[in-house]
Parts: sequence; structure tokens; C-alpha cells
Amino acid sequence: MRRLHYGWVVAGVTWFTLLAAAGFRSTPGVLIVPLQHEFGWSRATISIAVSINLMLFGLFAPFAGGLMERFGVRRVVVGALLTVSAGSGLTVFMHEPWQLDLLWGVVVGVGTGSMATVLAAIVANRWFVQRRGLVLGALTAAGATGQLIFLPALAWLAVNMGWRAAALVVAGAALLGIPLVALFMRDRPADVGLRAYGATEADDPAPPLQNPVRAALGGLAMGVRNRNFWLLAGSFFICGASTNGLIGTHLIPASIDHGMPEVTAASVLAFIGVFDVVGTMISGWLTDRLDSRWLLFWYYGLRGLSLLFLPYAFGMQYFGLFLFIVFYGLDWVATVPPTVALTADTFGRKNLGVVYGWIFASHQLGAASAAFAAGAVRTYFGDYQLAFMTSGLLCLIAAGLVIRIGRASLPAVGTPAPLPAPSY
Amino acid sequence: MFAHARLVVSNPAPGAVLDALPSVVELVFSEPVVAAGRGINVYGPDGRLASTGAARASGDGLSVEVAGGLSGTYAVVWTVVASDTHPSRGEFTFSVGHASPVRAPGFGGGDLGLVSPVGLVLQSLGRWMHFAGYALGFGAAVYALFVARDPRALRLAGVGVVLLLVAEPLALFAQTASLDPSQTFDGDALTGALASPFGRVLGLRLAAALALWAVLGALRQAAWLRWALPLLGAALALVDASAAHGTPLLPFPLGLVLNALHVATMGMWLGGVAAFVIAPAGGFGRVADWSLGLLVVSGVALALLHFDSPLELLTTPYGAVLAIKVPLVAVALLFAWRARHRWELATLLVVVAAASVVVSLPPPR
Repeated sequence: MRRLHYGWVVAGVTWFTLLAAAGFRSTPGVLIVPLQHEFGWSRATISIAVSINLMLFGLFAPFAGGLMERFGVRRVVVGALLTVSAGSGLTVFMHEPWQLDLLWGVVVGVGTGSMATVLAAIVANRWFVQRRGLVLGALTAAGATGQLIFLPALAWLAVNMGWRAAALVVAGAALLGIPLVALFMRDRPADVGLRAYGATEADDPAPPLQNPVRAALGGLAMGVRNRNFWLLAGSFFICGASTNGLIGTHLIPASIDHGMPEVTAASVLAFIGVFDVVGTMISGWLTDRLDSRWLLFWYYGLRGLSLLFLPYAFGMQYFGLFLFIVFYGLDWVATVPPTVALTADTFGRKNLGVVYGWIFASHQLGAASAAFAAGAVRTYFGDYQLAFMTSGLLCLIAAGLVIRIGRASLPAVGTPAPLPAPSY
Repeated sequence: MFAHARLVVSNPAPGAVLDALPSVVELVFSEPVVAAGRGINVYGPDGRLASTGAARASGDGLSVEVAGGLSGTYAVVWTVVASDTHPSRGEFTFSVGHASPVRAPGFGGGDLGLVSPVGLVLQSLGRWMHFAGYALGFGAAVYALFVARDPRALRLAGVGVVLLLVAEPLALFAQTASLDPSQTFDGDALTGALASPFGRVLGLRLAAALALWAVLGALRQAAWLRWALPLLGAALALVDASAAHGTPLLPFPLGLVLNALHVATMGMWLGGVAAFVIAPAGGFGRVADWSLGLLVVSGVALALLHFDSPLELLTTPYGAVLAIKVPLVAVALLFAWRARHRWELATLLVVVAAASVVVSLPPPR
């Protein structure tokens, strides 16, 4: 039997890191009500910290990509875990709103942002040539699952032992992750005398060391000159708007508006999460085999149709909503593996971290705008129909955008060749 | 039958002179309605609002509570949207004790076809752009991909997408302007329009236009996707039919198909002729004959269903515009027969403009 390739060990460590980072990030949602009770802060005041957290989670991604290129994945992840641990642990002593903004907003936002999807993209691309899409799908799914599986436990802790217990558990979990990462994480296959899994030639040489801020801004400069960057960033903005921003934030209140009990509504979201794991893994597997543009075309097209169908689904009670859950859940973050693959194809693997970081920032920007806009629409219109239909239309635009991604820098896949050759 | 909602009965009746103000004003329409804005505004003899709150709808009925002790003439102004998305409004007066001058704001505006004149113009313009966009987007694309196999004609489909995307916001403003021109850009009025059945039809029309755009981009890589275009075109024709005048005497699905057939064959003829002018192809003759035949048959059937007597061609605005449209179709056919296709195209654009006005007017039945 062949020895297990070390890439799988790195992927496993990364999987747990991403799972934990997603859990850390989602914690503030559980703390809103307890903090409100103890300090008497308004929901708006607390939401500012959550907003800072969400924005930095996205906007710090490109700089995290630059940091990983400069200092190495292992050091950056260890630093990020320390940051999250410090930010979460210090909240125990806070008594002013600005301290919440600083700790949960800035410190935890930066910490979790350093470990998010950019880490998945870099690890999958450095360590895997074959099975890259599958690995990326599994890592992305960890980020989605992490938000679901920890929330009930954290909520239980916050209710029964106080919010300080929940914050300390997060701090402790982050500290526990440090030895795991320090012992098993490696930056590049060459560090352990290997080639990337399935690679036929030596790894790209490590790029010259760069200032991470300059690297991040350089990635942006490289991106904005390329048409494909705008097509990818634009479609990913819509992706963020139609998932995290709209459904993640507003499906539960919308279901309650239509007379569904809160627990049932929360379960709907949980089921979407379950189908999402399946969908993202399948998407990763498909990304290894098919043209990524076509995958995205169908993902966005079907997502758009299911959102246009949603106002009718509420009228059909549970059967309609069940259809929506399956249809929509399967491609919740299924868009990530093909988008990363297209970014890598256009900009090369050594630039992937920073360029994809910016594309992901666009995703978070879309999420934040949609979360706010849908809330405003609900307040003003008294109904979500407009928000859901607008998102559906935006997804159709995304389908039109991705299919226009330039062919020039892409390998020919899906042409009449009998079996698609390895495409990278 | 679903078309523009008309006031059938009201309590108090128009022109009635009562001893005391009733607590409720009730209106009954020709079909189920949704209130636009507050639905019913009742103005007292002093010109102030006498109705309290928004009107409540129940099936064909709409009612609002009124309060006030003044005697004199009260003005009732109603604004509704029918389930087929057509807006309509109207007004009448009744008096308590004695008649007095009407002092309601905007009363006696001189409506055309149950809506404000500027609203009717905007509605017609929006429909004209929509129909032209439909013809270029789907008709010309089907011509390019199935008949001529010539990519030059496909560029017209891009123009069609733009026309469709411009037509839909215009239709939204036409909807609000039809009910009250001074509220065309009012947030609450636009909100109300989007929340009504009109909003869903608008969303589906935009979806069809954007899906067409996406498929046009994908065609370069997957030629088989051309089959999506006739399907999408048929779907949009059905959406349009659901917002067209309902057909009396026919079961609902049959009327829907008849309306959709009329829209789809219009698109094939107009779009096909436009594409033929750019990139002539011999195979178009048979397609044109078939679409023409079905277009005329479905058009005649629809006209017969909407009229009680031929006299209505002269006595109703709907009939008058139709009486202009039909000879123009004959002129277009003449140009087609003489192979003067540029003239045929120009005439057809005028025919579609007339059709857009017809669809915006209430039919005789």
C-alpha cells in the first residue's frame, strides 16, 4: 500500500481550522441577546460590532493571502488562532460598547478573516494537482458546517452558564488548535520533500518575499486590469448577496412572517446547510472534471430560478419550501470550487491567494449589502417578495457574467475530446 | 372574464342624495381587485379626506369607512389593480342633504380608458418596447439559429434584450402614472405596484430578458442551447398572456394559449422580417407563412370574443384603435407579397404600436 501523501494531513488540519474559524465567527450572533440583558446595550449598538466583524472577515482576506505568501501558512494560522483567542478571552473584562467593537469586531474579525476561504484556496492549490476541486469542496463545506454545528452548543452555554462561558470556550478552543497547527501544518510540499499530490513536475519555486500589504494591493492592481477579474468578482458579489446576505440573514424572519414557528424556520436553514455540504463536495468533484464556467452558469441559473420561485413556495406551505431547500441548498457555496479554479487558471497559482482574496472580499461586500438592503426592504415594504425576486434576477445576471469569462487564458475543457484531460 | 376592473354597483350609488352620511362606502367591481394605494378616497364637501384608513378588499368588493358631519357633496375616487395587472381608476359623487360644489383634489381629470391620459401613453410606450424587444430578442434569434443559421441576425437579439430591460421599468412608472400622475415616482405608489400581481409579472418578464441574455452568451460554447430560446420565448408569451385581456366565453387555459399564440407569432413575424432585412435566407418563407396564418387566426378569434356587435368598432376607443390596426395589417401583408421587406418592417412597427394601445384600453367585453 502506498504511503499516505502528506497533503492529506495538511488538508485535514486545514479542515479542522476552517471548521473552528466558522464557529468563532458565528459566535457574536448567539451573544447579542445576553449582552443586551447584561449591559442594556441596544440591538443596533451590538450589531455594529457584528457588522465590523463581517466586513473585516471579507476585507482582510487579501491581506491574509499576502501574509501567507510572506510568512508562511503555519505562522499566519498560529497567529490568527492567538488573535481570536485573545479577542474572545478579553471580552470577559469589557464594560463599554467600544470594547465590544474592538474585540469582537476588529480583533476576532481579523483573526477569523485570516483563516477563512483564502486558506482553503492556498492549501488546495499548493498541495494538490489531482483532486484539487474535491479538496477545495471539502474545505469550503467545513466553513459552512462550522457555523451550524457549534451554534446550538454555544447558545446552550450562553443561556445556562452565561455568555462569558461561551466566550471563554471559544478562546480555549482557539488555544487548543495552536499545537495541532504548529505540529502538522507545512507550508509547501517541498518542505517535506514531496511534490504536490498528482503533480508531474516540481512545485513552483517559492516566490520572492514581499511586503504583504504591497502584495495584496499588487494583486488588486493585477486583477482590475483583467476582464475575467471583474466577471468573477461581479458574480461572486451576487453569490454573497443571494446566500449569506439574503437567505442566511432573512430566511428565518421571512418564514416567521408566513406563519412558520421559529424552530421550524431555523431547521429549514439547518437543512439548507446539510444539502450544502453534499452540494459543495459534489461541486468540487465536478470542478475536477468539467468546465468551471459551465458549472457556475448552471449553479447561478438554478439558484436564480429557485429564488424567483420562493414567493410562490411560501404559498405552497411545506412541500414548496422543501423543494426550495433541496434546490437551493445544493448550491449554497457550491460556487466556490469553480470560482477558485477559474481564478487560478486566469492568474496563475502563485497569485491565487491575493487575487482570490479580493474576489472573496467582493463576496462579503455583496453579503453585507444584501443583508442591509433586504432588511430595509422588509421595513419599508412589509414583505420580502421584492428582495427575493431581485436576488433571483441578480443570479440570472451572474449566470450571464460567468459564461462570458474569457477563453484565452483557459485550457480547453469540454471540447469534443473523449475524456477531459487534467485541466490545470 | 378578467380585464380592466370596472365599477358595477356602489353603495351609496353615484348621484344619490342621502339624509345622513353612511358609515361605510362600498364598491363592487366587475372582477376581483387589489386596492392600489388606499384604494378608495372619499373627500368631504370641505375638500378634506372623509375616509379613514385604507380600503378593505373582499373578492369583487372594496369598502372603506367614512366619518364626518358635514352636509353637501362627497367625492369618491377609487384606484384598483385587477388580477391581470391592469390598473383602473374612477370617481363619482353623492350628496348628504343637498348638493354643493365638489372640492376634491384632482377630481374630474378627464380619464381615458379608466386611467389617466399620461398613464395610457406610458403604458402603450412600455408595451410597444416590450413587444419590439420580444420580437427582436426571440423572433430574430430563432430566425438566426434555426432558419438562416447566420450569426449576423443574432446581433438583433442583443438589441431585443436591451429593449426588454428598458421596457419593464417604464411599465412600472406607467402603472403608477395611470393611477395618479402626481404619484408617478412616489415611493409608496411604486411599492404598491410592485406588491400587486403586476410586480410578479414584472419580475418574470425581467427574468426572461436576463435568461435570454445569459443563453445568448452561452450559445458560443454550446450550440444545442439554441433550443432554450423557443422555450423561453413561449414561456414569456405565456407570461404576457397572463397579463393580457382575459377572454370571455372561453375556458381560462384556452384563452391563455390563444393570447400567447398571438404574441409568439407576432414575435416570429416581426423579428423574422427584421432579421431577413439584415441577413436574407430562403427558408424564411414557410416560417413566415405559418406564423402569419396563426397570427391572423388568433387575432380574429380574440377580436370576435371581445366584441358584442361590430358597431363597437366605432363607439368604443378599443374598437376605434383596432379599426386602424386591421387595415395596417393588410398593408403589411401587401408589402410582404410584393417583397418590399423594409416597408413591411416599418408598417409592422406601426401595427405593434396600435396593438400596444389596444392592450392598454379596456375591451368592450
